[in-house]
Amino acid sequence: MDALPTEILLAIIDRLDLDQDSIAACNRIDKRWHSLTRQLLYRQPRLDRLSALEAFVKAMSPDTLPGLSDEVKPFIVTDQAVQSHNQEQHGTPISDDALRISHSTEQPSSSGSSLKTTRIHPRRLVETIDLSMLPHRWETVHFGHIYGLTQGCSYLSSLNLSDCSLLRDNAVQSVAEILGPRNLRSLVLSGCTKITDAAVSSICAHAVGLENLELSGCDRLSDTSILELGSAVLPPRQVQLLGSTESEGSTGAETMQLQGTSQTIRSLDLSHCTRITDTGIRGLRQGAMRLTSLNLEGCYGVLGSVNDLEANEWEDLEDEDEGDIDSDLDVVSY
Amino acid sequence: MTVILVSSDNQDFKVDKEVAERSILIKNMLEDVGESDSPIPLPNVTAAVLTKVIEYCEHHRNDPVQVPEETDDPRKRSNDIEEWDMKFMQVDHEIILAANYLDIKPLLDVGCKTVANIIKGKTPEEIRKAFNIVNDFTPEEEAQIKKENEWAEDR
Repeated sequence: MDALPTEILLAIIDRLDLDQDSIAACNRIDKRWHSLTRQLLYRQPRLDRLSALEAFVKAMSPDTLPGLSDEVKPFIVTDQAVQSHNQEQHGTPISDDALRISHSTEQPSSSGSSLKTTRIHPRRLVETIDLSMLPHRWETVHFGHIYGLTQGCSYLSSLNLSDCSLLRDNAVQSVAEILGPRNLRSLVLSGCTKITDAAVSSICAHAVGLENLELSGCDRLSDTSILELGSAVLPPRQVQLLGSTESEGSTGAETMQLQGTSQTIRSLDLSHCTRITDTGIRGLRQGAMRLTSLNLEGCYGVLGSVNDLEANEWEDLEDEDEGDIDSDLDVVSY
Repeated sequence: MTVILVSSDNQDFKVDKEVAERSILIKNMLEDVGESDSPIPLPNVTAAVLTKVIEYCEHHRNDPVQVPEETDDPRKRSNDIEEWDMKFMQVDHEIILAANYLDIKPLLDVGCKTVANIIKGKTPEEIRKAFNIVNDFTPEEEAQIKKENEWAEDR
């Protein structure tokens, strides 16, 4: 078995059909299998029991791993370095090299444990967390879980918290503040019925690249949220982080790179947000240039018919601005 | 028409061209060489393994050429091994190596599926035993990984 080349081991791992138990077992066979399966194991952890979620949060937490607590402080520095690097390339994945270098300089003296110094902590590998398969999440998942997840896996690109209805604004705030400025692309808060305009406001204040936001059934949200989603613009981050040398020469490119939810949002689910009215939707459409999918099912406060909206506001808008606005906005409403 | 294959330990195997050409490596070689009855050396395959590989190719000589299966339903993939293939694969990983070298995609595929099926449901220790893998973790490393992966394992 040791003689098999890596490509064959990868073909074998591929045949495990993403079976998490088997991949986890392979992860502990030996160093070779370990390094070949890590990414697969951590990219999209299947958390379908509360005990799994809690163990996961514990394992990802920056300060509970024995012997690794020293790295917490250097990590903050590292995070920023990686972040700017990441944003410079606009959405490309975190550079492994950058991480590896910073890790090895952090712990030059840790003897013997090659694992710690050369490998990336698994929390760096996590891209997607989907709690929508977790039974009883509406009565079990609380702020502590979400806070722990965001502290640990701060480079998540997709987070699904649908029907975690115990969550309040503070949970969404911690998601927005920590994940928002980094890689967050998709956030599902459908059925989180306790959240209010303050939650959406914190998303708008921090998220730089959010493309999909699902708020179905969040019936405390008002037009304030929707108007904010349509107007949220953040200054390009790399200007602050990288200094002015690079960006000064390219003012044209700079305006193209305006970040913030209104600039990046493509798909928005507002179904059954019953307090929303035409005012909010109109403002949203004027600001959110890339929006191509909008679900207004069960939004009884929105009175303008789909056709009216599409024929008037939306087309007017197209005429005013550049021609490349998506004209094929797909609106679902009843 | 037949071709002669020579194993790494210098045994000759007389095989129908059609059978030998299940190996893309051999097929390409024959195309390159053109009409010729000189034997084909296979320095990476022993006679024991080559016997098995030829047996496989004989059994599957009439199969249609495999189409790439990227679009297959991933859940089905590792369960659809023919019974004959299943018995056949109860050998060892040398066949997988030979299939890789000789470029016989279906055989490589069956080999990988078989190994994957053996892995499923086993503990790391059982997998090491099944495949003779040496645990090269230090006890500390092993403990750390076990702790890290706890969320995925405690059932």
